[in-house]
Amino acid sequence: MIALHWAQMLRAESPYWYLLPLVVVVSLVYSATRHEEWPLIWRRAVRLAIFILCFMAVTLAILWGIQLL
Amino acid sequence: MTPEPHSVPLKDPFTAAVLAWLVPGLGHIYQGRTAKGLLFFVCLMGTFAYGMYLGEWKVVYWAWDERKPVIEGICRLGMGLPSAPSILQSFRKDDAGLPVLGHFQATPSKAELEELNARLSRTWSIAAIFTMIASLLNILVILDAQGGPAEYARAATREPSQEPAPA
Repeated sequence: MIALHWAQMLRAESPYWYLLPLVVVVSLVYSATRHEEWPLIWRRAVRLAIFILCFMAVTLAILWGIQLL
Repeated sequence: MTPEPHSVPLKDPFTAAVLAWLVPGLGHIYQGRTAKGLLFFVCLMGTFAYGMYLGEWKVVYWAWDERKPVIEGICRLGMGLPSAPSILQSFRKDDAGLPVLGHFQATPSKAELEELNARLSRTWSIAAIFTMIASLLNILVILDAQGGPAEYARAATREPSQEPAPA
């Protein structure tokens, strides 16, 4: 059931795919406006992108769980 | 982790901020921070252009009547030149189109807006979100061009308090 739900969510025409370029751009630009050193910018951008994706995944899971109640 | 140096060549911060508002990254290129300027230009102009493409190049517009996209319009103020044609087009009285610009970012008619909303549905909203996020991110870029990276400013304000108090 859960696997089916996630499979439907990740189908090719799913709007969730639009999140990926947005997350990349937001994390890169945000990190670049906070730091000047490139290694630090890349590192913080990756960390922020992972945080955003995890946060959204958890939020999605909670909303999905509420929907099932 | 090694601490970052607390000096960035900002040249004239006001000019840099205005240039950054006009075109994302231009303020940084003016300051000699070319790599960051190019990063901002590619990321923000790419996001803005992709949003326009998703919205069939009609999602960025301005109107003075009930078609007015208030929140989107305010968000798009963060981008100077890329969204300026929409403001110019909103003063157009006839359907002839402006010189050079033609119908680029022209205000769609009510019927055209309804048709686009119905046909593109969710994609229309996603397109608007792309252009809004690009414009809002440009505000951070303007602040970076004007005052340097945020962490430098924070470190500069923290440093005096870390000095030992005089006996």
